[in-house]
Amino acid sequence: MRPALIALCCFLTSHALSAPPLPPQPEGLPWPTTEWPVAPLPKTVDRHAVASALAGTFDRHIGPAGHPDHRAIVAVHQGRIVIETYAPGFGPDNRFQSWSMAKSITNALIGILVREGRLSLDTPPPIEPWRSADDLRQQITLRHLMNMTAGLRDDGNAGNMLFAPDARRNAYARAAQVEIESEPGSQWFYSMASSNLLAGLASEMVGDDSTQVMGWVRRELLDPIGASNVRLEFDQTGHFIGGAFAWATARDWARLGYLFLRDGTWDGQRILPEGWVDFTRTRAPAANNSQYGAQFWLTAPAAETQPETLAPELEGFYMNGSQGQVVLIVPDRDLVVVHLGESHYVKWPEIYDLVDQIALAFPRIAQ
Amino acid sequence: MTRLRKISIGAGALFLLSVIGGWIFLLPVIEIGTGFAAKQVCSCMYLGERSFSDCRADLRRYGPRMDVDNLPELSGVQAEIFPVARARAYYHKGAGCTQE
Repeated sequence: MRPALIALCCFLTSHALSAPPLPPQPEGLPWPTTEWPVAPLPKTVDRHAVASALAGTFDRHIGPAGHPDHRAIVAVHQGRIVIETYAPGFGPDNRFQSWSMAKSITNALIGILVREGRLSLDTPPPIEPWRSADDLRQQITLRHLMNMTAGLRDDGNAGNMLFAPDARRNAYARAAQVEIESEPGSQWFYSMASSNLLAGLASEMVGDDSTQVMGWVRRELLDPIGASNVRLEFDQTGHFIGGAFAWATARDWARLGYLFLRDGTWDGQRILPEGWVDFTRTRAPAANNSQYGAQFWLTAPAAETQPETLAPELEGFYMNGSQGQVVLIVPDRDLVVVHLGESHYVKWPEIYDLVDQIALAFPRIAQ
Repeated sequence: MTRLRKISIGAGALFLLSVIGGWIFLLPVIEIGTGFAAKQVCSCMYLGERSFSDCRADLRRYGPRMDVDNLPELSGVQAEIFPVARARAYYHKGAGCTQE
């Protein structure tokens, strides 16, 4: 057996010992490609806890537009929507913004390119501006970028990478300007540039403009899972701004989460490569990280540089975006919980507490 | 040169330096702010399926007031802090809003 294959087997085996397995689609249940199956809360769920968590959710934290900060909550359990509730003025037809949850869509796009053999996790990605770089950036691998351990430290705040005039023109080129500050693989740092580089690279590889890129994303990711209401946003030169700019309905956010819950497969079709979701939900190997996987967060105890978030006992992984966006995937409860909003006044601990209360009300499923 | 004249020149130079320094420091922040506002309201309208006034109101919580205008004939939104910075975002069918 070749060394790389042995290493992969060891990696997957060691992970399988620590993370709950990803549950299969319930037998006989249709996949939610055209319609989400809907069901009442099963009797095995702590209904009192769910009711208590949701009580008054949309009556508090009213923002300047007259809307509450919490705006949509959806839970999918064993393949069926069992909770779906919206703030007044919002419903299944409204798209909600991703902010950094777009990073998890970027994860899927990179996964597809890896499955197609066009990218590889442990080789430096073909980022053109770095070819002439006379520095450590040539040692950055795709895995480092996915794990946020590339050593890139964004200059200034995320606004520089998203809204500054040079980023508006070409977010990919702007991200490629970020200097390296530590040896790749040694330090974790939450880097908008890393995600914009990944999304920009994927865009460069699949199309010449936003229409072609969006067409590829639809064909390879969104159409197979029925997520027809996802919209990605681009810079002027056609790069998906994959660190922050995507919009989707609550039901389509649930579909994206469901794809990861089902190990990257959908109705008999493998969309993400084998082992990709396990890679996604494995802690990025850096001493200062305990809660980050690969463009996804993990429900894990806090580290020095990372605050307390969702309950570690959930053993899940989640998309997370500014202003209160969460798509939580909990394999051993066969569960996806979506929370969307616009947090003018509500603080993260309250949002995490709400998502925790809902998720913990669901029983673990015997595997 | 009288003492008063020296003080006036010094104060003038100091004022000029403050303006230049402030411009260098603040302009990028203002540009990011207008870019954010134009993009945010555009996406909220065309992707979030909400009205201009509703999206505009949701923006009020952030930062300084600025002029935000709906440009329906262009499927876009303009944000401006006159005369310092102006940004526009345009909706592209099937995708989202792109900042210009």
